[in-house]
Amino acid sequence: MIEDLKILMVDDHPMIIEGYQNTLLATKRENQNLKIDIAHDCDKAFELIKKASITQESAYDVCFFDISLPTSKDGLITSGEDLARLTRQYLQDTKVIILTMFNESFRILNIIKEINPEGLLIKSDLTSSELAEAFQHILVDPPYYSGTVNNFLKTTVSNDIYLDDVNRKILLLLSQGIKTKSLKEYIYLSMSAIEKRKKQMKELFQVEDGKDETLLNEARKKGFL
Amino acid sequence: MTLNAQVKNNATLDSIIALRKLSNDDKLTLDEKLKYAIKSYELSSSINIDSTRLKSLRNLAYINLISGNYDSYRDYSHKTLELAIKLNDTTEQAFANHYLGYYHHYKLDLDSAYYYYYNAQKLFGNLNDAKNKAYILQNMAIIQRNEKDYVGSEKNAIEAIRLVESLPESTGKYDTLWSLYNNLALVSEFLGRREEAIEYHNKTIEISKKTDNPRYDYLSSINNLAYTLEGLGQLKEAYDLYHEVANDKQLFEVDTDLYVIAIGNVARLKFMIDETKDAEAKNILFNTLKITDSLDDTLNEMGIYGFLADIYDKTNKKDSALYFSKKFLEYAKLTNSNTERLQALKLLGQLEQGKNGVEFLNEYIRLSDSLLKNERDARDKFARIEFETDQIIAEKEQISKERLIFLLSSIGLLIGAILVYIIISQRAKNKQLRFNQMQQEANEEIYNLMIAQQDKIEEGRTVEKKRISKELHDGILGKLFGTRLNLDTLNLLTTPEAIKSREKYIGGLKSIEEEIRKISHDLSNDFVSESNFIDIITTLIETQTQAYKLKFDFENDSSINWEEFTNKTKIHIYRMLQETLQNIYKHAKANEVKISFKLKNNVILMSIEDDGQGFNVNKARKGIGLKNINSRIKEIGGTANVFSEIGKGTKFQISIPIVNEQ
Repeated sequence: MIEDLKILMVDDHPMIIEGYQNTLLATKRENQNLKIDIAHDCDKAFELIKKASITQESAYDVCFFDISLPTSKDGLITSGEDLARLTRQYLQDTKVIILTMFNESFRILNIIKEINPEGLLIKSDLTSSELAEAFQHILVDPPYYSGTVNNFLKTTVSNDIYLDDVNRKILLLLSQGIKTKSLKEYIYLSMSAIEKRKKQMKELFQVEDGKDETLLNEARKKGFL
Repeated sequence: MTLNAQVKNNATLDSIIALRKLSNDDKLTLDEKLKYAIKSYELSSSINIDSTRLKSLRNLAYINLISGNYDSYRDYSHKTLELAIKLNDTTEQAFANHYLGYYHHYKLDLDSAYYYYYNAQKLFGNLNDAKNKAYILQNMAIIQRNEKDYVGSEKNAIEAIRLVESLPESTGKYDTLWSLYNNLALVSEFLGRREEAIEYHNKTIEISKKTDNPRYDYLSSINNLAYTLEGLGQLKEAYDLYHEVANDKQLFEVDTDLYVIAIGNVARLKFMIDETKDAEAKNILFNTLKITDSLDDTLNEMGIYGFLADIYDKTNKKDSALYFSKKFLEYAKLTNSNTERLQALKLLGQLEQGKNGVEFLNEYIRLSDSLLKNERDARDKFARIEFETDQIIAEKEQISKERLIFLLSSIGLLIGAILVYIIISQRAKNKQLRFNQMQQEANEEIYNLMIAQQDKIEEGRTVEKKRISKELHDGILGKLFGTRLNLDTLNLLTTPEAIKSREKYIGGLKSIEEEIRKISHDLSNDFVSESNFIDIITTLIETQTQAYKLKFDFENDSSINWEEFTNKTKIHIYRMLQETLQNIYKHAKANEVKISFKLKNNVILMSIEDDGQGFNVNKARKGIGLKNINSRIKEIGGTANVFSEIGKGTKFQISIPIVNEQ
């Protein structure tokens, strides 16, 4: 029996979409018939999602979303994350696979928490065989996460410490050498709120000397970075 | 002073005091006393303590007095006075004046005596030493009485009595009182107030009971009272009193003088009461003459000659009367007794007939006139001495007052001057401080400007970094990932299409290379050049010239690496430029200004040239701006040159050496 699979691929690099297509087409099962739509920006992707939602029978089985995408013209949709959320809203049964260059932990955790995608793949880990395996796995038994993501989740779960995304982002930015006073340019919080969060984290990680460096070391040890 | 010296001095002081004590030891002879006094004075002179020397000096003067060395007494008293004045020792001044008064009194130089006494009594008065003051007033009263200034004498005597009566009981008190009342009685007598004189005499009689020599004082009082009664015409009473005096058994031994006077008076009164008793009276007087003759008592002898002349005249024995009158005159002249001389002359004038008589009478008139005049002078004399002394004191006070005023005003002026100086220097200091503060603020401003510039550059860098990162991430990484993924897939296939496709992706790698090269180029290209200082300078020049409405031409040698300079140097350069531009605006009336930085042999030449009116470099006063520039140049170890000529603009050239801070 022929299994028709309707797929949406969103990435701003045509070559990547080409890669996905080639891989999937080359590795599909005999009985699988792939019908692939592609979009290079948020506007086009959203248009396709909306269209699919109207004709429910032609809804997508699987959507591939890159995270960093050119923002939509109205500026409301800024990334693959937004698109994934919209897909959840419009197309309840569609499986969502998020592919990202970002291997930043805070983002991974955020994505899992908010979208809970059926697939979460880190591009830098990804090979064609893994992509193929992930695709088949998700169709039958979601979710599928990249090895990096799994490792990360393991350490996070084993930790008593819970950090929300903002705190994770603060740690990340600090680890990149950005000064505290410049943080507010990256995080929409007041200076005092940022300081307060830093102080909480230092207590959480039992940083006794109060230095940012110690905080970062502790966070690294516990796998938050 | 070392401890040794002090110990030695103390020992010396002890010996001085011991010597002084010895010099007043009544068991010693006068010579011994004098010897000790001299020794104590010599020792006192050897150590340098003026107060000790002063005490020894007065002691020496005193010992000389009791030794009868009047000249030494005078000299040491003078020295005492001088030193006391120098040391401002009022007590010693009073005593020294007293001593000198006594000396002159003794020498019968009454004017000087009175002068010193007057000073002494004033000083004792100031010291509240009533006893000494009264004693001196007594002496003054006696001098005045003798010089016939009766009113003055009476005044001083009364004041002295008032003082003495306030004194506590003591041995000398009644002697002094007796003498003072006696003086008052005599003065009253001389002034013709005989009733008053009798009262005073009675007072002395009463006081005489308490004196040291009650009998003698009593007799003196009686004798004096008798004289007054005689003046009142109570001859019988007077005679009885004279008789009582003369009949005292011891009087002849104790006081021959009084005895002689009394006996003479007895004889005189005897005759006056009953002129038939002339032989008896003469007999007494001749006997008395023997006594006076043996005693060489010229004064009483004179009196007796007078009495005899009177008796002979009254008993019409003209020759004898003439003889004794002449004797009387002779002795009156000898003893300088003017009253008696007048009496003698008058008597002689009456006795002598013709030309001689007229001559005596003429002499009488002359003498009488001159005496009257002298008396009048004498009366004023003491008042004058007092007045003059007071005047001298007043003048001294005036002078010291003036000195004080002068001193105070000088001090006031000095303080004023100091205050003015302090205020001025404080103001200058404040000005300097304010100026420094302004400089500091200005420097800070520039520093902040530079930091802001730095921040801007940093920001630019960050933006650029982000852009490159994004380009790497989104562009190249994406493309690489796509290529890898495709090649990965194509790797599994060996179909001709697949091979073709692979070639396409491998070719695609080339374009990625190109992109990387581009980014690499962007990175190596110094997207933020080290021009920030020059940017600040350019902004300064632009804003200043715009504000001053000047055209400008700015040239910067791009080979200058401003990063090599410390911020301090940069701030100084900035400020110097700013100030020079201000000066150009204020003074030069220029249209255009040329500014340039040039590098020459490791020295930066900053040149600021205007086309203004210029000035004479040699005559120009250095304003604060120029001074400032100089201090800045000094600080960065540079040199400055000003080239200017009137009408030809000004060129300001500053050379700044590049110092390697490391």
